[in-house]
Amino acid sequence: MTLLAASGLTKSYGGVRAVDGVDLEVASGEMVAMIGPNGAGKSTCFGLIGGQVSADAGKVRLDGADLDGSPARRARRGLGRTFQVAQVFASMSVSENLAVAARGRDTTLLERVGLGADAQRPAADLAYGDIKRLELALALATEPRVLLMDEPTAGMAPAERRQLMTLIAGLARETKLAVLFTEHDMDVVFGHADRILVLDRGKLIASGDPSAIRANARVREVYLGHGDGSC
Amino acid sequence: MTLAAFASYMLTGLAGASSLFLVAAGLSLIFGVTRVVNFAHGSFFMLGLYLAVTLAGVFGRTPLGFWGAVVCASLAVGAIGVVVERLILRPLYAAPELLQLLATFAVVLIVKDAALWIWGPEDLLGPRAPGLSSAVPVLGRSIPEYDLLLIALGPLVMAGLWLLLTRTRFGRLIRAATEDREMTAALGIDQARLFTLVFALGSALAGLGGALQLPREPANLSLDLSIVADAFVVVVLGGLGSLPGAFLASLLIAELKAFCIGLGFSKATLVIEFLVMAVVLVFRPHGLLGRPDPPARATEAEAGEPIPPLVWIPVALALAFPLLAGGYAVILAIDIVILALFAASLRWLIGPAGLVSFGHAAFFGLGAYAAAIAALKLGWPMAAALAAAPLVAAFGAFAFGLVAVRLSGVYLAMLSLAFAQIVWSLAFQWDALTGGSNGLVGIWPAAAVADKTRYYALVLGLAIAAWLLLGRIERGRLGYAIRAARDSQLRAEALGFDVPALRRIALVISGAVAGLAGGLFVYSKGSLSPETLAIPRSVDGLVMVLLGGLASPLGPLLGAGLFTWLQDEAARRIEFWRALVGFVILALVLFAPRGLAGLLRRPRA
Ligand SMILES: Nc1ncnc2c1ncn2[C@@H]1O[C@H](COP(=O)(O)OP(=O)(O)O)[C@@H](O)[C@H]1O
Ligand SMILES: [Mg+2]
Repeated sequence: MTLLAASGLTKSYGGVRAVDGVDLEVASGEMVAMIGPNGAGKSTCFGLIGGQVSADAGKVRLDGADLDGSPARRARRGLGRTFQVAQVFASMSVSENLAVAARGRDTTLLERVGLGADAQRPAADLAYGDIKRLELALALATEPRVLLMDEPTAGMAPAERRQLMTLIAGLARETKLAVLFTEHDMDVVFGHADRILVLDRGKLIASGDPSAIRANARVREVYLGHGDGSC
Repeated sequence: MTLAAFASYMLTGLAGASSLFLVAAGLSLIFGVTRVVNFAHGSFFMLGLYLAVTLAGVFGRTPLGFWGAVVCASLAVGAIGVVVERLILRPLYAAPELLQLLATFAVVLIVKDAALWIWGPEDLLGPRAPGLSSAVPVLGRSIPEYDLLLIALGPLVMAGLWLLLTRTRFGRLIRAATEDREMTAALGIDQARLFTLVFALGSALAGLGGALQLPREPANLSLDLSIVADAFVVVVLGGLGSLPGAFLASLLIAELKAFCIGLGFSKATLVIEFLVMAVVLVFRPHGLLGRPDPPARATEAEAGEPIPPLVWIPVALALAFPLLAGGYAVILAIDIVILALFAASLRWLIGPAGLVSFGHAAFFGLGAYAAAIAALKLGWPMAAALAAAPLVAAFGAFAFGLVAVRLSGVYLAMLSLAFAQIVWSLAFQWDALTGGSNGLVGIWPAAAVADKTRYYALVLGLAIAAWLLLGRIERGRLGYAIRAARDSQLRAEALGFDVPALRRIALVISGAVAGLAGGLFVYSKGSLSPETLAIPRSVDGLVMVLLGGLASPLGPLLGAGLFTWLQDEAARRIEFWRALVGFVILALVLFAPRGLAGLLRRPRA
């Protein structure tokens, strides 16, 4: 069942079309990866869905109803997200961070993301990979129905990446969470995505299951053409 | 309005705009490159004028003497700027913005006393400009020749600065540093030298602005804060770091002033000026020509061990002592506790909520006036009047919050200053209600607490209750949400928190506590004047908070205690007590940047 649906998302900065008429859908329980070279418009796309970026055109729907207004309003409707540059509450300890996000709900998320032993540490002292993990725990603490993750495994070692993505995949299945994520590590993308969207210069150029994307000539050209080499 | 009147107001406005631009341009340049909000900029202006008066006397009444004095005064002020930058600001560039602000405020105090020492307390009137002392008729009205010269000078200086910025290597460096500080550092530019040069240039411009006022207004010791407030308005209105913005805003403000005065609303000038700023900031949160988001440094994180509980014992003893000792200790203690409560409300706003207010005295004053008016005009008993104080102040904070919560950083601070100025001019001008400049007198506490020691017990009791309440809120869920909104607005919003609403709540709480302090103040003094909510009180509040340190709720108490005691002791014994306070502040900023409370906690391992 489609939970998140966006249509015609468009945003220009000056003359640059950062996002250009993007349509996408994510079903509950599904993990969708959005890939594309740097500057393709992935983060802007997330901002348009999350409400952090004001759209020039386009519509976002959650479970059939329009999702609009401020980021806070969208969050309260069940949209959770992380940012490319992780955002946590730097003056608080790890457990205080989670308490703020969970608003009194009981949660074992710290243990689940592997920060159980760091609960009393100041968030500002964590390594970047751990800050990413904490941010993910914060986003999950609101019990969202849709989760957007912008480069969730940046700053982590390969083994940690797999572990984190396995956790997310498990949550997605268990709680029927719809997940949309961007990622540069192609092992992570092809290992964990049910479906892949490819963005280039603001436009969606391909979408499909991993094997179809792997075989897609245009995708290869975009990646090789940009000399990204990670594909 | 006749055409002639229109033209004459217009020209008066243009002349004013030139003076304003000189000061504001320097402030904007310094901020753009160094990110220092230089409170001492008005002091440089004042020094420029004093120096010009003296030098003009020495050089003699010839055109060369006059203009020589103007130029030399400006250069001298530039040199003073270099000294200030080297000695005081250079060690502080990496420190939080508020500490830099505090340091520049210490410079204000020191310069003021230096001027008092050198030139004495009397206003000094400079000579007229030789050869330019008559007036020329314009459409049947006479315009001073000197004004015409000023009108030409503003655009000339703007053009000169523009050439400097676009055509020289120094200018390119300034622009690069204004746009991207990290970038310039990465390019291996000698930042220290650049900062010093920019400070010299900015200070010299302020000095020039002051010196050029030679024939227009007497040098006096209150110019510093009044000018810096005007300059802040212009810089913020134009957009921080934007010279064309400063030029445009100078024109706008000066013309507004000229027309207000010309059309006979001179009383409304201040209000209109600040209203314009408020309206512009609401629609353009970064000023007329400013760019979004001047990169702000994070506020101080609450790091380190909590203050050991043992520290509270001497504090409790010190607070209890006046109850037993009576006499002068009680009078001083009443002042300290009331100001500590005021400072606590400001610390709550700056610390946990991350909202810097330069106009916090507005809420103190609203509370004070509410209590006084309730007591005198409505005949309310003390308990009711005291209850009205926090309510009215909270309402004021709510109204301010409606427009303010969209802003942040320096822009918010400036809007708070504007708000305070508006409240001040209401108090100053609404004679029927507030007694105008004479204020209100005869507000005495109820018989049960008429005795000073008893009144102190009441003040202490209410203050402790308010402190405990603030502490509870800070450590409760609301307090954490408010801190979350400060730490990362993006994150807080993405978690569903209504950040503007949280900021409004924080403001209302802070306003209520400040208002309570104001109400207690009025009953302790028995009288009230607009001074109660003027800029210096807001600044005092900031100084107390920063002296005490943001990180601990104990900070405001320690800060208010030290500041009030220093002022009181020093003012009674030493003529130049302001300078002494300035030096103490500088010592603390440079050697104990986490404030007095910070000295009491061990750093984290
Ligand atoms: N706030 C902004 N202002 C101007 N341009 C922007 C802004 N944010 C993104 N862009 C531009 O939009 C394009 C897409 O950026 P982004 O969404 O961050 O791409 P990605 O996340 O795929 O790397 C880039 O060309 C980028 O420079
Ligand atoms: Mg991105």
